[in-house]
Amino acid sequence: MNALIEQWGARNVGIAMLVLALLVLIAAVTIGWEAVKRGLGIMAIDRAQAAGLIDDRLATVANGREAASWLPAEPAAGILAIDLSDPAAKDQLARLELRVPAKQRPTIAAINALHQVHHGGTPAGSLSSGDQAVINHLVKLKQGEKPKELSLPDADPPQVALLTYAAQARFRAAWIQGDRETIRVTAGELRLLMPKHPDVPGVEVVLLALSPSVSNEVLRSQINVLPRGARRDLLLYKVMELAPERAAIIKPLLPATGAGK
Amino acid sequence: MDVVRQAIMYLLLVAAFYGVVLAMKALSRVQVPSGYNAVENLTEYTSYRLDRTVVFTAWKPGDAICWRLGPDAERAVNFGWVAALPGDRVQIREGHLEVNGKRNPKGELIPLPDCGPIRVPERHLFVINDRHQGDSIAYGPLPASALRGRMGSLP
Repeated sequence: MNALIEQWGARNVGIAMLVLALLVLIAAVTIGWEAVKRGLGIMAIDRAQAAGLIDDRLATVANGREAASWLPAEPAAGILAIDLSDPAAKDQLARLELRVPAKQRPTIAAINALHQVHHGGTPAGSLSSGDQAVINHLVKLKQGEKPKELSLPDADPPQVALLTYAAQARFRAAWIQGDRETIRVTAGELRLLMPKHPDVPGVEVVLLALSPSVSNEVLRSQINVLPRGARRDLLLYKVMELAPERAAIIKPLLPATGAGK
Repeated sequence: MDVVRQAIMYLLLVAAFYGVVLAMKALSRVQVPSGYNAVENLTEYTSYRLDRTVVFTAWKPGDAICWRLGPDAERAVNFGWVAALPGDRVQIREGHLEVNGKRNPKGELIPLPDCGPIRVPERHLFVINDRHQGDSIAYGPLPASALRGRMGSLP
């Protein structure tokens, strides 16, 4: 230090040290602020994923948006903030794709493809084999094909957003087409993959009613879980149509229509 | 020369700090919450060893695992075993969980008719416990972010 002071003068060395100290302070504040942002972002992601586990879509998206505001380059936060039903999600995804690291881009590309399928498009370009298989299957479902078995490669599991979307689309398509066995199979898939989805108690009634091994008592107790109302009645009428052998248990649970008087 | 010596000293200090943090994560413990009974023979308030350094790709079927279902204390601690990894086929047959066609020995009978198979999604695990409370039968496959760590053992 003394050598430096002799060479440059005490004042100059003092100024240089002050500048250095300022730079270190700026770096420390920047690192600290980044750490705070990261912490808040991760907490919001945790809340969003916890909401996702109980299928609370609104809370998932709201917390995902908060996480994305703290961590704009974090794909997990960006994906949680996406609401597929919102056409503006296309622009959100395009911006996210530019921000995330290159190795995360296939994840965003898969969600982008799902968004296109949701809005009736046919996505171009190739994804990883598992994601691509789900997207191809969804495109066929949108074209009105029967929900055949979803065949997936062993080594490349698809993303959860694609699988859950496909499970719902498969059940919906089977329900519309009315084939008893396909409805039972797709109801079982939906129950295993998304047990906390708000519609799953109804789906479980369908699954139980269409499974011959299930007793009428078990079916009745599951029906009693459903809130009473027109929605439940509509479901039960359809179930009775699909499984006439369950009519004896379902009929007394439906409101009297006055027919036959 | 002094500068080099000081730099090495600071590096060693940082390495030691990192080592202490890692050791704390590897040797941390988790307490069984009051009234928890999803796994048989777990005693409430007893603490178990929890290794929080496990990376996602290191999980194996049969590993004892602790996970959380939400940030609140009530759902923060759950115990069980890993039943299936990403890409595995999971189904229920005659009340038992089957993974890739093989029956999983853990857990009580599942009160569901035959259903599945489904695939476990990318970066998710299918976990199971004795009474299927808070496990993947009740909540579906769990994301990597919900996993708290590997238990030394469960009774």
